[in-house]
Amino acid sequence: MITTEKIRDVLSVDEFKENLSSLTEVKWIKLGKSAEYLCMGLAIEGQDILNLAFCKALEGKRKCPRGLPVEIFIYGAMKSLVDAYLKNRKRDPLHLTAKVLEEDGSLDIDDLQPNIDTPEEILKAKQTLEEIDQTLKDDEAMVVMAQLDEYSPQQIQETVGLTPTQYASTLRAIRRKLDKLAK
Amino acid sequence: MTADTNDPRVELNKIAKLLVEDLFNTPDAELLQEAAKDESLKQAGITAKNAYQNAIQAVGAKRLQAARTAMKSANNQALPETHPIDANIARKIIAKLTAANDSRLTLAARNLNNISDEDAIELVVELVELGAIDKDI
Repeated sequence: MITTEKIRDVLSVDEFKENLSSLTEVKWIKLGKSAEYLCMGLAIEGQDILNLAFCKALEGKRKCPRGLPVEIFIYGAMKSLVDAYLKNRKRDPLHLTAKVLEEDGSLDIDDLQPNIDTPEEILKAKQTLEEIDQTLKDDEAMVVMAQLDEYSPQQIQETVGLTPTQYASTLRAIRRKLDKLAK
Repeated sequence: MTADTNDPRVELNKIAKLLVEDLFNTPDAELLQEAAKDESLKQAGITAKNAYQNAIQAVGAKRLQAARTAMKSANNQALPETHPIDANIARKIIAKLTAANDSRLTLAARNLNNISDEDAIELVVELVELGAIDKDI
């Protein structure tokens, strides 16, 4: 049962818009860049996933918990959308651009229009992975391997033998290298 | 790095989460310094802002369309119930008002030859709705 208290725990659409209007330049950069990362090697663009996440929030279909920074909330929404997209494309390898709107006509994950077919998308992702593999060195490659095995940050540090500071530096080095690779 | 059994898209997605972890943990001042040297970071911010503006427009346009559809649907439901007027009756009503030199009719409406059946019905419906004439006239 939804109580008044629970309703107050999320931002209204107007409050959400107010929060976004006061977002600093660097937070916008973080949002834009995180969207790019999530779409890395996929047949969809970061701006599309961002747009869809914003639409969901503006339509009141996804509500931002009060106290949660809006950029983190939007990132979470994008992450769920990409997870759903991957699940969709994985379940049906022939899924191309089928568009199934929800009954109320709101935007849905199926509104994302992949710009290439699934086999091409897989090939592109494979090539990107190979490029990443060639770019990273020693600790960086080991951190990524552990991440692929779904280790927690703590487990990665223990496995690779890094202090929290070294782990943070390694992540930064990986991010900067992959940013260069994407250019 | 990639086992053949794994979907490379899913693997990239896992790496993406690592990059995002670092991105959000990078102090704002440090990222701004990076952006000063890296145009692609600035561009990412601009893209994000544009995506937000586009979303505002898209959601607004959708609401407007929904309101139009609802209004149209309401009008379509209301008309047959209150105005079962055919073109002949409408023309007779207009002719009667014209003969009486009624000021409620516009000059154009008084020339029955120049208005279509549809316009004649619409005119009478409007006059009834406005209360200018009685629907049983």
